[in-house]
Amino acid sequence: MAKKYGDTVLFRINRFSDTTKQIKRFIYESVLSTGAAPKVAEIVEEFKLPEAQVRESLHDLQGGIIIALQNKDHTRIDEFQGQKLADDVVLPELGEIYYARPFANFKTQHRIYVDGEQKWYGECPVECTTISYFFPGKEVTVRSIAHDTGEPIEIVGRDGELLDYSPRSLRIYWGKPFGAWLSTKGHEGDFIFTCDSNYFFSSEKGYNEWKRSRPHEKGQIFTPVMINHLLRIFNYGHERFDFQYHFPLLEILLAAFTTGIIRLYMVVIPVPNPFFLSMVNFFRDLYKNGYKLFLEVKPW
Amino acid sequence: MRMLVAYFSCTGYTEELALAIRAELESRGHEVVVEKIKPAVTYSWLREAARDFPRYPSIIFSLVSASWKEHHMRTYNQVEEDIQALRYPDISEFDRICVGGPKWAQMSYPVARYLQIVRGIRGKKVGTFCTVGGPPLPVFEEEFVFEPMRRLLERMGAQVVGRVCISSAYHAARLMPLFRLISRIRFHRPIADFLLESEYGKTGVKDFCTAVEQ
Repeated sequence: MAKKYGDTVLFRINRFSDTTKQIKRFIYESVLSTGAAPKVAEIVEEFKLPEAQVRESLHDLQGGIIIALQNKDHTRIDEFQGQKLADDVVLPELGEIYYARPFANFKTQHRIYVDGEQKWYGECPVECTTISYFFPGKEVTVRSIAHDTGEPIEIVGRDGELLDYSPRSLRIYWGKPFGAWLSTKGHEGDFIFTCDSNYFFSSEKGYNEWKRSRPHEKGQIFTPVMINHLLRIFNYGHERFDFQYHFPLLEILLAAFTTGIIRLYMVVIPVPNPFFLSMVNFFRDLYKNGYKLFLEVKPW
Repeated sequence: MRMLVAYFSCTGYTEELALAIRAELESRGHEVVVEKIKPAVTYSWLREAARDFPRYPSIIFSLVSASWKEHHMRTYNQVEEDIQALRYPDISEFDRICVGGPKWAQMSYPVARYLQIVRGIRGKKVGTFCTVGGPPLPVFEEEFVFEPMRRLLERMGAQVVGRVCISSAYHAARLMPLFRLISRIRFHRPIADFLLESEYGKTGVKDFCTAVEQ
């Protein structure tokens, strides 16, 4: 059954202001009821705040990995995560909300079904595994396309838990290690770029074939179970008013092997996965790019 | 007006209070809808107490020091409990919201989660109600449950317009003899004088409904 929320906070590194939290709630309420995030002008009008203050809150939410704002690179794209975009897709304008993670603010190939209704789109294969947090008590199905074969894939979840997925050989490719999120040349401070090369693969074999022609790609593949386990630790409570990313130390330690944070080298030697170790670089890059780190550290 | 009464009830006392509030509001001509908040896991008072246990000494210090109490209220990390799917996850269609539950260390955990996830609460006028084991002690019972609720609701952009606290004369940890004694010492009245069916309870519900209606 449901996982417990870590109750004791050891310390917080920054905290969203109440206005920022209210704006976040307003964004997600709009996404959940209509499938689309509000425009910045609508937020300004709703809260009767100066645009600069709203922009500051959105900047904080972007730094807290809650939303991503449209940038110049993504105003005219034909493809999204390796799939051609639909002809009728309307991309957010510059400075508007592009992602309200784990939702995208435009039509993507990751379609989300709740009780047979579909008006939401996922932003990334990684986050699709726990998207059901946003629909408490309901069965949520994500239907998408495998990057290697184009075959349909399906992920079913409830309250953040992974109930089923198909094909059973499904793999999720996480394209950018944390250290490359904000510091990749030409994409400094770009929060959209971080998810641009995350894909579903129909099987590990399909991934290996794809990887052979791209030896310089630094991403890693995970099973849906591993990703779900990892994100249930970090994303737990994402639908809550007071949510900001958290670091439950004991849980991370206990789940280190099952989530791939520590991998076994030569079957027996435990080695920390550099993919996750580079999170330290990500924290550094946040400050370098003028963002604050919003994080709660918990003992469990 | 269209009103929502959302409540969590562990043993049935809060449900009685919620239904009394509904009956009173309906008798005044309002359309009232009830939402029962159901936890996702079976209740165990030992487990629930264990989750909050490290902060119990702080609660006791708060009874003797006002500045410590303020510090405690400011830093307390409200424990929450997963809840089942809501009938009304978006409450923006309602004109007034009444929300309540039993007092645990502070807010009961399912109510805390409800307030965190319910949509459309910003800008709403909200009435809060609770049942407590002992007599309605101003700090230990009332303030410890209503103040965190008020703070959370105001942070979310809602406005608290009324509150009512009724005794259930029930405590999961069998502390009732102590509360009966406290009731005699503090109020010179038996705890039965603070139950829902008492004059105190009936007046409390009426005043609460009047405040919510405004």
